[in-house]
Amino acid sequence: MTARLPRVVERGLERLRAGDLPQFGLLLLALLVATLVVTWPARPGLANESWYTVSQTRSVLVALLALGYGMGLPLATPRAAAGTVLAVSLLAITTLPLELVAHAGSAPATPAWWAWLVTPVATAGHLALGALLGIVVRRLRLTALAPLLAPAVLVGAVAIDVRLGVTLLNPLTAALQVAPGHLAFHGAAALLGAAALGWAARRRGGEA
Amino acid sequence: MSGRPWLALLLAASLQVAHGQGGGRLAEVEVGFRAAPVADAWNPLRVTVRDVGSGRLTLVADQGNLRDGEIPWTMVVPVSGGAGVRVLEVDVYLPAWRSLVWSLEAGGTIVASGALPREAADRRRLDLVVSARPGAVAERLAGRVVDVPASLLPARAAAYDGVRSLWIDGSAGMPAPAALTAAAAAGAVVVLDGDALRDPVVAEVVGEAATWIPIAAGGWWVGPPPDGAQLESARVDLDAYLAAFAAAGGVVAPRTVSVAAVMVAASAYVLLVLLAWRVGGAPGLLTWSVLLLGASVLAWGAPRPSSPTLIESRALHVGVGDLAWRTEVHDLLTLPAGEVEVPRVARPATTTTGEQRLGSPPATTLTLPRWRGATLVESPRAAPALLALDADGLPVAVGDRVLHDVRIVGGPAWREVAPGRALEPATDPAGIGGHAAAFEALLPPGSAWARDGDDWHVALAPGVRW
Repeated sequence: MTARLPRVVERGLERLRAGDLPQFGLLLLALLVATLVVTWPARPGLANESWYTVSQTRSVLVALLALGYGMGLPLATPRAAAGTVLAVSLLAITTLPLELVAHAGSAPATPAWWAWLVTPVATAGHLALGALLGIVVRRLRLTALAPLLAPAVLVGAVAIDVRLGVTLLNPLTAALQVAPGHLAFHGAAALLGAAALGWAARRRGGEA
Repeated sequence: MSGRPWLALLLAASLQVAHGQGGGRLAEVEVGFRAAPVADAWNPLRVTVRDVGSGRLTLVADQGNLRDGEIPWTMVVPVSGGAGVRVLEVDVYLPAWRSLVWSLEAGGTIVASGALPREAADRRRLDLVVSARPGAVAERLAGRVVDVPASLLPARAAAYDGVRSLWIDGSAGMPAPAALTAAAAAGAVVVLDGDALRDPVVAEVVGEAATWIPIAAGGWWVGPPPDGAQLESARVDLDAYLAAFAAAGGVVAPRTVSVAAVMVAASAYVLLVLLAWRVGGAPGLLTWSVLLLGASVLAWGAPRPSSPTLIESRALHVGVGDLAWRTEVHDLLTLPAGEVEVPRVARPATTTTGEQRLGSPPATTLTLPRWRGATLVESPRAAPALLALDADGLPVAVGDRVLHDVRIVGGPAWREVAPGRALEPATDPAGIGGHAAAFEALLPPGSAWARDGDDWHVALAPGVRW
């Protein structure tokens, strides 16, 4: 007898089992392992600075993945969209032990819990931002530019933060320090994105 | 007689009283003996407050330069105030400063402040003179001669860290015997002459001694007054001993997990996660959860050092007979950037930003970048010696500890020396290398040195050192 999981969870696990997401997941995890190994000190006694590179690489790659998959959410059914959100979130959480090992070896001043707190929230926020971006792109009939928009949004986020001198949108700096503003922004974005997706789904249902 | 002259006198007297009250300083701060501080040494600090509440004195010495900018070293001294005059005497470490400012804060306001000019940052040690004719000593020595009243000499060894010699001829009174011992224990040469030799306490100690009575790392000179060259020869270079001792330690960065182990473990984790996803359903989710938890526990535990800040403490004793000059060295290594605190009053061995807090509880805080080590050195003090030499020049444990690796400089060696036990047969003095050899090379022939864990004990040969 096997336990029956909620449908959304089954949908999410199914996304991780087949299709393109496991391939992107493998690529993401392999890149992180390579980053960890390359930056890990080769000799004892050398300063371990691996966490700085691993955490920033992880943060940016997860953000790109979430933005990219977020752009596809407005086209999916609500159940499929929820499955994708769950799958991307699980994938993001899966990367955390790779950052944790670098954190333990590097002993930075940033607390280890920060990555565990910010990762689910920032991933949800990036998925939501991606979804909003997807809606806008379709409205403006610019879907051909969609593959370029996820990295462009990240570059824009970095530029805005650098310009304002804050850590609100930039995943590079938010990975290295406790940034309540970053957490609040992505939390709000996630709620807004969920509301927008719900509204879009209801509207599609009404039109049908 | 008219009343006007009386009125004028009364007015003048009342004005003088007003001036005395208004012009009297609330606080006076004197750094060094008679305001002659020695840079790069512990100095006596005398704070006198009048009718000022409790507060704190803060001294900030900027050790920076054009290239590195400001490197502040802050010293915080709690001052117990109240009605009347209160005097506080402590010892503070003064680095070679570019600027040194102080301020006394009480009740939330600054009641006094001041500064020491850059020119006052002189590293040369002082020759203190307690005499009615200090000029005679000044003519004899080409150094920093400071005339000091006998009553101002403290009985704390750290106060004499920057003192080369102390001259007393008895013509201006005698300091407390404890002050003479503290000065000698700190490494100063105490030159006793004239009426000073007739002081009952001094006469009892001097006895039949011809010229030199060694006390810890310094001593009393009771022969014909020495010249500058003889003074330098008689002094033990405790700074060199300390530098060699400090160099022998240091905290080693923690041994981390090998890169091969990290690669294998991380790859295995990724493969197992992908397999769990392939399984799917509840078993896959459960396997993924277990993998995530297990990998997190392993990742957190295996490469993590026991503590983000590693501190090792060692003591150096240098003495003659029952008394030793003692200081403690703390080696630090911090992995995260930030402030590292040692609950002692100490100075950094190298130029570093930090803060020294006296009072209760005392603390020294250094601001260090990531994965950086530093060495802190406590103020020297007089302490009971644990290693001495007997009449035959053989090592003897005079404390309650068993000392190991006992060596006579230029002579035999022993595995250990225990209190109350006869010496075992001497062993072949095996060659030592590295920092220990460099340390031994500094000791005068015939001296003994031994180890007690990480602590080193030196019993100097009591002979004349010039």
